[in-house]
Amino acid sequence: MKLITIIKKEFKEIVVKKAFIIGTILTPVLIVAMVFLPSYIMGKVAKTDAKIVVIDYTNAVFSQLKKELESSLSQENKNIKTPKINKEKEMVEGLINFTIIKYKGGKNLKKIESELKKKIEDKKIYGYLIIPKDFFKNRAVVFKAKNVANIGVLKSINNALRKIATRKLLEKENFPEDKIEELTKGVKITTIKIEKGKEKRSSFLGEYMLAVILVVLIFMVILVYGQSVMRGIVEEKNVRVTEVLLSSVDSFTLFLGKIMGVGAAGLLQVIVWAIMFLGGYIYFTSFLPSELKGATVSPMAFASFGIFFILGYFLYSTLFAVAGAVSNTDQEAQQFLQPIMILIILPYLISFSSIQNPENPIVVLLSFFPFFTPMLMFVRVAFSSVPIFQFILSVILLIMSIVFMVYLSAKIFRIGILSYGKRPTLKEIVKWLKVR
Amino acid sequence: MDKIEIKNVSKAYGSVKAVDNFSVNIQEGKIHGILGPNGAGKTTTIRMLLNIISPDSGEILIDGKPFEEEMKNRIGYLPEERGLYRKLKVKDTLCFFGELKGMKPKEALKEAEIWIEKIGLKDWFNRKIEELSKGMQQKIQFVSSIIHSPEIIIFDEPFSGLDPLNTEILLDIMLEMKRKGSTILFSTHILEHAEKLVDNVTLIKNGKNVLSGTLESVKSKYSANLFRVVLEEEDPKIKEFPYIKDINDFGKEFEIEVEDNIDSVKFLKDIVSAGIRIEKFEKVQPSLTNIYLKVMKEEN
Repeated sequence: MKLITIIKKEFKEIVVKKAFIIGTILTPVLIVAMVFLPSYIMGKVAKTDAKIVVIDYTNAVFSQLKKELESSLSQENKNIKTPKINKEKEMVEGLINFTIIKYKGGKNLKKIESELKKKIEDKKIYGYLIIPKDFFKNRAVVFKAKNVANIGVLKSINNALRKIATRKLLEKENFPEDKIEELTKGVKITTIKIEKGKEKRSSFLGEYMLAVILVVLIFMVILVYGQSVMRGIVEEKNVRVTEVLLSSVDSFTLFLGKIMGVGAAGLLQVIVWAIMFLGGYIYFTSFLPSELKGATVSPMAFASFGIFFILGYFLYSTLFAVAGAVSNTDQEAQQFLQPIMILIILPYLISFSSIQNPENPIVVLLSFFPFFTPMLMFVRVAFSSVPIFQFILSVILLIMSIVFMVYLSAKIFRIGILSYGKRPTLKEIVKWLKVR
Repeated sequence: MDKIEIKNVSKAYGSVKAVDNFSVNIQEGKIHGILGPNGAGKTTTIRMLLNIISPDSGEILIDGKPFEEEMKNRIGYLPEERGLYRKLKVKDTLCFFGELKGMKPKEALKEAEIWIEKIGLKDWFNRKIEELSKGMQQKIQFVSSIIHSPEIIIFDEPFSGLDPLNTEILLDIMLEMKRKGSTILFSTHILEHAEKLVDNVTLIKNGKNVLSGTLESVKSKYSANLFRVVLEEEDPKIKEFPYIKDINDFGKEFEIEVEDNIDSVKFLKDIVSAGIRIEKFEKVQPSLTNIYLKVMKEEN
């Protein structure tokens, strides 16, 4: 009952803070901005308007070229059936909106060119294409534009001209009309990446990103809320509330209540984020980079995220609580923070490098070390198939060490919260452990 | 009847004996003052009583039983070092401490509303603690320690740092709680409040109980042939009578203890014939302050 009172108070204290509310709303917005915005912008910006003037000395190419290029999009769509890959193509080459104009006017090439160059400078046209008389023989044209590095534009023009030339050739050979169409049809390529002798599923990048986000989440929550536990205890010492609290509850209940109350606030934040992400995922799905589409994390990985998220927070927050209990000021607590930080950052870094090779024997071994389990075992579950007994063993080890750490730190906490003034030495802290 | 029995309790911090074989019985429904200088062991005794720290030896019984966690709900405690959560609202503060003492949330809220009205801070009920003045915070702190109507109230140096107005409010609260049947134990080194308030008194020095009993018994034990003399103007001759045993000099006012065989007639006659002009002359009972000073000096 008193445990609930403390949990309630700690929870409420955090949740009504402006920083909590803003952080809860803003963080996903920022992440969404980082993930979604680039592809959204790319989709907009990559739409190139290419107005191209054609000087056709053959008098046979222009009308076909206009047809090919101005409808190039719909043509491609016919050829490539999966819109997903088409989208990917767009991502790389961008959408090009061709407008093909036949040059009408003088015959003097120099005059024509100087006129067109001025138009390019004035951004009235994208560029101009000179198709010489002997085009069908030599298959050579000249394209002049301010930007000749746009692969999409060049590739489209190249494809269209080759098609026209080939068709002309086949017509000459009296090929049937429908055969010609078949011959000049493009080819669809499905790409599959091979890594370490195995085919990667196309949604691998999505899974990778989701799992990384979850690891970052475990890391962040431990860091932010662990420190919140620590600061709360230092504050209680500073405003001298501790003694009143201890006259009402035992130190163990106080200790547990603090950790659970603050943890509940963290859990709430993560749940809100999950709901926001899910909503955003469904709503914005059309803007999603194709790599993220269909990204799923296996239910097992999700369940293990929940388990490791909660257990990891518990394990580390006991350390933060001790750091708070033996300190008199925030600055003092910061010094105790360093060794704790190492214990958090180390598995965080290892977990990233182990994504590539989660079954590396060292990673496997480290994933059983309780302080590394939450992040490393999660990565192993997400990226490889972990034998169930290994998973259970790691969870049991983790729970056992939590019980042990809670016992140890509650003892240090009990004496630490009442000692003011000089910061205790390690020797003194060890002595506290022996106090009945 | 004894509500609390402290039996031969000792507690040492390293080589320093904070409390040394200390015993005292606290009677039910009475106000008991523990008096002593700083560092005498008052706070340590109180913390052991609340089971915040455990004694090295000896035992403490409440209602004849050793301490149980459940007893915390029946005790109200105001520590010497005071403070509240700065960011918490007044209402939430009172409810939180009430609930921590086992009250139901509704019950705590109801009591909080009654008390906030009583101490005249109704308009501040929904404000944060940090917005309150120090005096207001002190009042909130008193209320938070007794909101659950405890059987036993323990105040550690309750009067230190209080302005006269809040001192009065605290005295009222203590007397009201006594009328309701609470047993009140408080420590102090401000003796004038103690004298007005206590039924029983214990003097503690170097962790030892050096004097204990009802106020009357202590006073009669230390009764002395004591006079209060106020002079019209300062005159050193007042200090020169050969039968003076002890003298407290306040400038124009003196507390003078004389030998037992000297009565008021003889003393007054001698003063007049010495030509000392007096404004007031009276035979007085020794005050708690007199006794306190005497005991503390004696033991040295």
